[in-house]
Amino acid sequence: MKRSREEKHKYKEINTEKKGRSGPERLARMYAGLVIGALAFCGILLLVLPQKDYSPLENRFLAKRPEITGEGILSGEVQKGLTEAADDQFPLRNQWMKIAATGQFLLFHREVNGVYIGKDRTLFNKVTDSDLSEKNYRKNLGCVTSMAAATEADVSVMLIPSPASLQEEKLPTHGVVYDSEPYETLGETLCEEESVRFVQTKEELARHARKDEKLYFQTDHHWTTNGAYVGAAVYLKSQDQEIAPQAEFDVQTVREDFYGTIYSKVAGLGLIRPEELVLPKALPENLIIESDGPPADALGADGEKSMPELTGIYDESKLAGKDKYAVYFGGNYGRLTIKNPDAAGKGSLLIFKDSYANSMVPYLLDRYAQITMIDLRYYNESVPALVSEGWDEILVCYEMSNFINDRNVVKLIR
Amino acid sequence: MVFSSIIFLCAFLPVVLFVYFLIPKQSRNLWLLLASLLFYGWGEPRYILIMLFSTVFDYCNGRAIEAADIRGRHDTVGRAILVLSVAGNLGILCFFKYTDFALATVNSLAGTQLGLLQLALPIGISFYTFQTMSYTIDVYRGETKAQHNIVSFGMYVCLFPQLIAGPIVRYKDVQREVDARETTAEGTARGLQRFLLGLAKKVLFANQIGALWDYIQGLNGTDMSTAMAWLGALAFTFQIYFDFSGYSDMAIGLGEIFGFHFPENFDHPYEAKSITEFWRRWHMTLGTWFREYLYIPLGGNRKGLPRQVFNLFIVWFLTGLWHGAGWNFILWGLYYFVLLVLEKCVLLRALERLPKILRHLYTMFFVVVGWVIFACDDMQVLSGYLKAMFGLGVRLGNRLALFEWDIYAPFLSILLFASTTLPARISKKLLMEPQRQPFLMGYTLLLFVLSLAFLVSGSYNPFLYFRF
Repeated sequence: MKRSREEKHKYKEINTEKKGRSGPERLARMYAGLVIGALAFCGILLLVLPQKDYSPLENRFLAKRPEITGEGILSGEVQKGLTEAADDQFPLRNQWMKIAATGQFLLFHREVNGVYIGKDRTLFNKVTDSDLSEKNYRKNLGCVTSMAAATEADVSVMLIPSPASLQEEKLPTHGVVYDSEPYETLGETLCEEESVRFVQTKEELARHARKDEKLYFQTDHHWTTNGAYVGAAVYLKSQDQEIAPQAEFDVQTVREDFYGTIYSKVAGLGLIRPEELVLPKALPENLIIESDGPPADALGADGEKSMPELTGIYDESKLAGKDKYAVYFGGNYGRLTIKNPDAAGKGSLLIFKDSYANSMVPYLLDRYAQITMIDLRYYNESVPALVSEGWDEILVCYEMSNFINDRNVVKLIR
Repeated sequence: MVFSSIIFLCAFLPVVLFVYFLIPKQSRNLWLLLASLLFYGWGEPRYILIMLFSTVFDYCNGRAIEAADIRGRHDTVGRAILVLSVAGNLGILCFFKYTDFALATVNSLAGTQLGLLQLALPIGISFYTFQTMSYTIDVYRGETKAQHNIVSFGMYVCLFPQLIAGPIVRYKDVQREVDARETTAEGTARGLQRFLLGLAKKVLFANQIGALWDYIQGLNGTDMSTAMAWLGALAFTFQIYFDFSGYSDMAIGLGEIFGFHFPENFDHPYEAKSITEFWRRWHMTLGTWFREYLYIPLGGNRKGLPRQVFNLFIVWFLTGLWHGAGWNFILWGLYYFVLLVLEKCVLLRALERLPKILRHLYTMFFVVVGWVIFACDDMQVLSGYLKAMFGLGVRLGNRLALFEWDIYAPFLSILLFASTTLPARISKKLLMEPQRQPFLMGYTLLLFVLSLAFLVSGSYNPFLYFRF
């Protein structure tokens, strides 16, 4: 018995020798195979999986493999394109982003990718003094007053407070954004010297905020339709007009799964909840809408720039996509004109604006026979010529920090 | 191409490894040479020519010096060829790296309007020219034999693991392995572990804290304060260490996979108790290079104190200049020259009497200030930043600084811990030898997944050595 056991033992030894691999070596082989295999597997998937055009989660177009040409290789463009495509087309990209965002959140809690994660999971763009150019602000206001000097129209400037300015209590602990007061004071002074009306919405918005009304989105940089209503009321009041009670606009919830633009920057952070998107539905009916082309920043269902099909002023197909805010008019145009033959007044209003105005204009429709919205980012015709067309009112409406830094306001006097 | 990119990790590396292990040993050098040329040409295809020229040039120089030696012309012909080789290498380096700097300096001093060349700096040129110089010098000194196989020599010069960010591998360090090297499964696994640790240092540590430095550097007005400036300086201090030592780890790891044993480049420099010690632990291969090929030939410390100080001045002036063509880099080099001379003459003896913790603080204070000089290539920005650090013209603290310190404190503590020898010492205590390997494997796999996640999500991922 004893002997046979020894023999068995011997046999075992010989057997392992035959295989020629010790424990550590087998482990090393497994490890190396696993790491290199995983890398190769990802590489193969990158090559064979279909390439994607667009990332709804990040709200941007993805890089695709470039065409390979001799010239492109020599200049390095092909290599650059392949490098970018490998990042953008990586298998399960969204899941990887989730891991990274969650990792950053676990580590830093209150800020991910330059976005404040505030109280009640409210997201804010981190805009501090260093991000703003007072020089540019002065220049922009100068352009507005020069434009005003050349027209008979009643010119107003309305700079909507940044979301964080009105909700400082929702910033994360110790979180800080720029102080808007010096900019408001400066704006008021510079405008009123040139008899341009500087319409302040801050107090009125703050009064509504104290009533626990939701004026800004939690995941988007825009004000809500509720905030826009307050803004519209303030503007109309400055023109000695009165806005109809909000109930008359029949505000309805159209989506409950709205994620805004700031969310795209912290894409995949699981703990952020979607919010409601509500729209005023009872709007004037016989509107005539004209534009200078398709929206410059929103794409149709086919992924191309195309004229949206509007129901009233809404492009409801956008509600199914990622950029739900484009439901207003289908996106931002260089020029968009809305005529309302049934309007209470016969006046015309020209608005130079960023996307903040999109949600406010619905509340102005029943007051003006014609409203023309100009997005200076995309409008490349002569603005002085447009301004001289004999408008009753001209409104410059931007979100404050956006206006301070905007580089297109100079087009007003070009 | 850089290591911390998907294209390198998921396309280049697996293909290179598969082929490398499949083909017979005799063809491996050729394969590594071809792979390295692709790696280098990925970013700037045209500059492959400079590297190839450098290879052929020093291959011929090596053979010529050898031939001169055989004919007993070591001191005449051999020496002349050595001078030619060094002049050629330095010529290439200076032309691409320093011409514009020199022209701009002349312009600003003499008020002239000389046109600049505006050449893009060939990446890694400072590394590979130093490597090829070490080769011809060592052949001349008889410390190594000339390489007769041009493919093997080309492979050594262009070898992608250490090509663009070091370590500076002298030919004599690897001469035996260039001709014949063993690859084992354990070596491959160890190399991969080292590589993944380096990748994690770069992607998870350096990039994350680097984003903070990038942010703080751009602050102005009321956003800046002394507390903020110090946070930024600390952020860069950790970024440069984890970035650079991460690259070295990745290079050493890749080398080990292919059967090379590259010299170590960093030995926990932030644990140093004096500036002298710091430089024995930071970018060690560069220090070795300057000591062996410049400081000692100049006479080192054997010709009296005044000469030694002069030699140190030369070495540190050039060390500064090597890191980039800019006044701030020269200033940074001279800053260390002053500190090192002071330590040599008085400070070291005084330091010995201080408690350990004060010696660490003393060292890190000057290292951190040094990194600010290194990081700000605009003199005005630099003076503004240094003023802010020392409380001139800004408030001591502000709310934004409180916020940043608050959210970054845990991460900074992790970085501080990770930059010391503590992690290694603790794991040695807690884990017995047979458990260490499986633990390290699991740990590096976890880091691997996290690194991939951060790479794919395209967070901040700069390449810091484009000026070297």
